[in-house]
Amino acid sequence: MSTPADPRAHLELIAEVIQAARHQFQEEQANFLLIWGYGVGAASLLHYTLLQLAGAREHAYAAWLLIVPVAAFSVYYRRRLGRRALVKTYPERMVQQVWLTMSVAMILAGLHGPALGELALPVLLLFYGAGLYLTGAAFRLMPVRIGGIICGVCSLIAFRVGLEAQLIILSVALFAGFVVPGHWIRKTRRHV
Amino acid sequence: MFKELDPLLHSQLRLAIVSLLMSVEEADFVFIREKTGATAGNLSVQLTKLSEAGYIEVHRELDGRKTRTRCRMTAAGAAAFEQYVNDLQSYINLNNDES
Repeated sequence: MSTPADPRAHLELIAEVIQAARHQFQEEQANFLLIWGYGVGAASLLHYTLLQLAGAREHAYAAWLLIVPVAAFSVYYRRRLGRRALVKTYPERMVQQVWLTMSVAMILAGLHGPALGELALPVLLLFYGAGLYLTGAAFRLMPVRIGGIICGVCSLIAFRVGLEAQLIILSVALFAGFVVPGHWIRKTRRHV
Repeated sequence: MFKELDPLLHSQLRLAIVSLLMSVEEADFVFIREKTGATAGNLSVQLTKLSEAGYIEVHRELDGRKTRTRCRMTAAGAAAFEQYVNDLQSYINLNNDES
């Protein structure tokens, strides 16, 4: 058995290593914000545009089919990233579980879309805001937390307006909450 | 009374490896090498020692033409690490009381 030559140095080493590893964040995680920010934002704007066209108004909801390839690409990208990752952290796992839970909740809410009527988009935005805020908290990324708060505030406004205004609010919220933090992370964070 | 320290963890590199693995779920050999600044050969030897003691799990898998080595802590390793930190702290407290 050993006796410590310098126990304080060993404790400092432990603290140093844990600090360096605890908040590892892969820059590529930011791409999920961009995939979903641009994807859902585009669907929302397309829905709004179709509502303005007399002939397409009836089928304007079809704009949301755009989410299918977005979701498929997101799943593919997640698996690719998982295989390449040099480290798996607990915050990453937690964030994955948060978005999985949010996705299931959003799908369940979406299935009741007709019953929810014009409450559907504000509810969707509320889920986005909650997921985003938790993501920012887990990774200690203030712009992402602020994005979550913006989505929450936009959701409150969206509950009080009609569908067309909701679609514009949703696009603005996604731009501020997902796209801006996504690009910010890519610009400021290094690879692990 | 001073409690003697676990010799397996009382090496700077092995302690750094274990501290690293305590703070993440799983880490690749390349990641551990980058964070500890160890050479590949030395790191490989220390990982084997920790693995043989049951402190970490080492999984090797083929990724295309390359072999990837992923490591994670075991419950026994986590308990040994906690014990080691407690022992270090008691030693420091003992020294403080004596001075």
